[in-house]
Amino acid sequence: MAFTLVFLWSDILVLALLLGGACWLWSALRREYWRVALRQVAANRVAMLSFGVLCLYTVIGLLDTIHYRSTEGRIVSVLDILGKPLAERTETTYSAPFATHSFSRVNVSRGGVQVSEYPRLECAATGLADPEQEAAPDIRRRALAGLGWGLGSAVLLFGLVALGAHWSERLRRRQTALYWGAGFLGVVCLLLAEALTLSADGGYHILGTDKTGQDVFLAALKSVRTGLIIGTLTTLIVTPFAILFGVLAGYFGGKIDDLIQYVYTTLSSIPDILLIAAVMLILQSWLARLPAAEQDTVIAADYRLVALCIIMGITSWTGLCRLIRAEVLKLRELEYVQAADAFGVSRARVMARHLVPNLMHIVLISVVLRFSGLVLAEAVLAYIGIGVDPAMQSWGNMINQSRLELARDPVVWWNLLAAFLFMVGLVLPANLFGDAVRDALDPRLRV
Amino acid sequence: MTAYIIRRCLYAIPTLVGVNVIVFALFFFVNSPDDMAREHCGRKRVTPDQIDAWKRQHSLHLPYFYNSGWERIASLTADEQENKTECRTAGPGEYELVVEAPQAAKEAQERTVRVKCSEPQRLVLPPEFDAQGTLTLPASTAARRFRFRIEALPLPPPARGGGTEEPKLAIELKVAEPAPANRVLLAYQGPISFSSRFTQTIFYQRSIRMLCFSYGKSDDGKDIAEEIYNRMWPSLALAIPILILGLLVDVFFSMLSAFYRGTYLDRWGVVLCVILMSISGLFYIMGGQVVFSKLLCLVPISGYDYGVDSVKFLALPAAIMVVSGIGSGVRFNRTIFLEEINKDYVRTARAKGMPERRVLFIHALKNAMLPILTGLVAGLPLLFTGDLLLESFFAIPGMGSFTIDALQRQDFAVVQAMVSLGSFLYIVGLVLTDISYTLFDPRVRLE
Repeated sequence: MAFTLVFLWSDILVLALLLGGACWLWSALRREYWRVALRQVAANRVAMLSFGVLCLYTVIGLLDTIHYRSTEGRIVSVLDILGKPLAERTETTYSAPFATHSFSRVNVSRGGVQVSEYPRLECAATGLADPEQEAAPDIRRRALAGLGWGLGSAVLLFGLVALGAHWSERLRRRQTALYWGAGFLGVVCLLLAEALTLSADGGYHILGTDKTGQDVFLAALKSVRTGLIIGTLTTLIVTPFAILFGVLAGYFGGKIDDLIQYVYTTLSSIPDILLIAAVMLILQSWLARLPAAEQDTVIAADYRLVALCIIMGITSWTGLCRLIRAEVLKLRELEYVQAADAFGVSRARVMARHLVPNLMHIVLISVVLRFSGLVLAEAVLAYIGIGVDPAMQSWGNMINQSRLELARDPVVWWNLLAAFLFMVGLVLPANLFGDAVRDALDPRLRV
Repeated sequence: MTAYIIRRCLYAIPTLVGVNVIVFALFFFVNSPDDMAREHCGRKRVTPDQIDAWKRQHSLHLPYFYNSGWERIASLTADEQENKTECRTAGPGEYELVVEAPQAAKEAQERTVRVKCSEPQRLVLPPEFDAQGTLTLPASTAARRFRFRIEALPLPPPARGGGTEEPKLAIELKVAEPAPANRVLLAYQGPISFSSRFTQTIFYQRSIRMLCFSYGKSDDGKDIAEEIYNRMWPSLALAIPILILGLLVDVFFSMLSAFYRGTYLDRWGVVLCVILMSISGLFYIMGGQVVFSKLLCLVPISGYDYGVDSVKFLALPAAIMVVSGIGSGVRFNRTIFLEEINKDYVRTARAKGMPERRVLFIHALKNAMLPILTGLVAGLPLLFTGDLLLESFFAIPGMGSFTIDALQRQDFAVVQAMVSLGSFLYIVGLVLTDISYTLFDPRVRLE
């Protein structure tokens, strides 16, 4: 099968981000300061568990970032292929989690008499003859099987750790940490096995289906990429500018400082949401004028995502710029910077070699702490109608949809629940991990 | 002190001007009035005349910065083979004839334009025109412009009874095939006073006037200033209780946490705070609405009433907002309390043998409230602008819902007014913060 890889703008940015992150990590690890901080984060159990969850999300996001053009000419990602069994099992409309029958009644003619009944779902629990009776035992059986697989892999992991500790002195010293890791991976395997067995062929929609009958679980998985991109790209697109302007303002002072301060006070005075709204409204009319070749929904949605990241970045770089300026004001009075100046080192070199590396902890802290806020902000923007493209899968769009669903009677709650679970699952570990990173890098800011 | 306040206020002026310039650039340059009109009249299938009419209706036909007095007096659209228009002009002076051409090359065709005047001896046409005032243009997509003028009479007109008669001007357009995108415009430079050369511009009408709080009319013809005045009160009725209740609740819980610092209560309290912080505000609102209004039927789902009845509409949104703010509020206040508790004067008080409760609630609380309260001051003016989400979910006719409605209707006049007002209030907040610091904290010097 011949296929061509497609790199959307956001894909390129994500790859650049990964590459940059790897380079930075490699260079940072050669410094004692960063190694100590990293060791401190690694010793924090909560932080490491959070990091594990974040890694899991990242893997899902990355799978969804590798795009290629399918044989039908559509742009699809690897996650689409993996999720194909789920994507193909579409019902006609809403169905509750683990339901065997549709959520809404349909009029059917049965022997000439019109009866209103809940039709059987086409793609859930297909193997069962009498779902009313057999569904509960079937779910129990599948859950037990998933539990078995999950526990089995957990036991295997623990066994490996125990075996490793038995054989190697080095591993024995890190036994506790390794057991924690194994325990965590075990839980992940358990969840994965449960999800797989329950929704496997002839299984159930574990988080129900939405209005058009699509599986909500798959939709929530597809939204992971959007959330991650908004959380990371937004800060990282503008971080270089924030560093540059912050260092310039702090190091040179005088007129340059005044100008940069003026620019960021002015930008931060404009209400964030309204500035984003204005730019997104403008972007819409710009997108409408794009040549038809780029009107592909995936590409247009991607433009919108990148634009959203940039504009959200512009509204939020001022805080970081201010912090960096304040730090540079302090650093520039320190002996080593003064010495460099006295030796006649050029100003550009002082900034690049002596100032910027000593600011990276502030940058890292602000990026990590800002992440969760941005993921939450995406939902709010989607609700106002200025977020990512409505055609793009995102938790914000799911919440936005579920607003009308909550007004129905009986309530359609699973769309909201899915978005809630996945968002809290990302934001909570991000918050915990962010706190740990901050504690490790800047003990003065400890909460 | 007075001099300081005055100077601080003067510093705010350049920022305000900067905000206005950015907003103007965003709304009228990046998104030109033509784009706006196209967006409003339907994106495709919109004729230039419709765009002109829309712009004229919203007084966006004016030039950006400088009005030279040129004014369009006639436009002729090639919707028939032969088009003709006649105008009684303002008299002698400069005229400009613009022959527009369709954008698409396939619609380009040969056009014949003819200019006729009731007093042909006074008409001075450029050399391209022949003696009859006719000009045939080849098929092309380039627009052509021609200047001509009508001479003033050399002598005052002889009194022939009827007084002065202005010359009549007629233009004709002939095309082979009617194409509505193809048209001819006639502009006339009339007399214009010096001041209106600057006031009759988009920049003055839409930007300078915002600085003076003259917001003009919204797209549906309502006076924006009056609307703001009416909608301010519900917003305040919601925001002030939230502010006060939120402050009390946050301070109470953070004191509790600081009092039992280091115990399980404190540690789990902080964990709970992080969990509360990780949940999007949308979930609090939607969950609260479903549980308390829909299922328990304690309060109306949405709506608003003026007077005492407003309590039952405001109770739930206020409670939701307070709860959703607890996480970050308590954590923030707790840090401040802990910092205060570790100071020397607190240790001295304890060493004197004062009970812990008295130390905490008398000594520490007083000093810790200072940063907390001054932190609130910055947000005080922004209470007027209301909460977008809350007001739109609970259908409270405040400023927030006004803004969100405008965003959804793409009413640029209202959005721009809100941006201006919001940034003005933000700057007022900054000034107030600075002033309150100098008032309450004698260590901050007046410079």
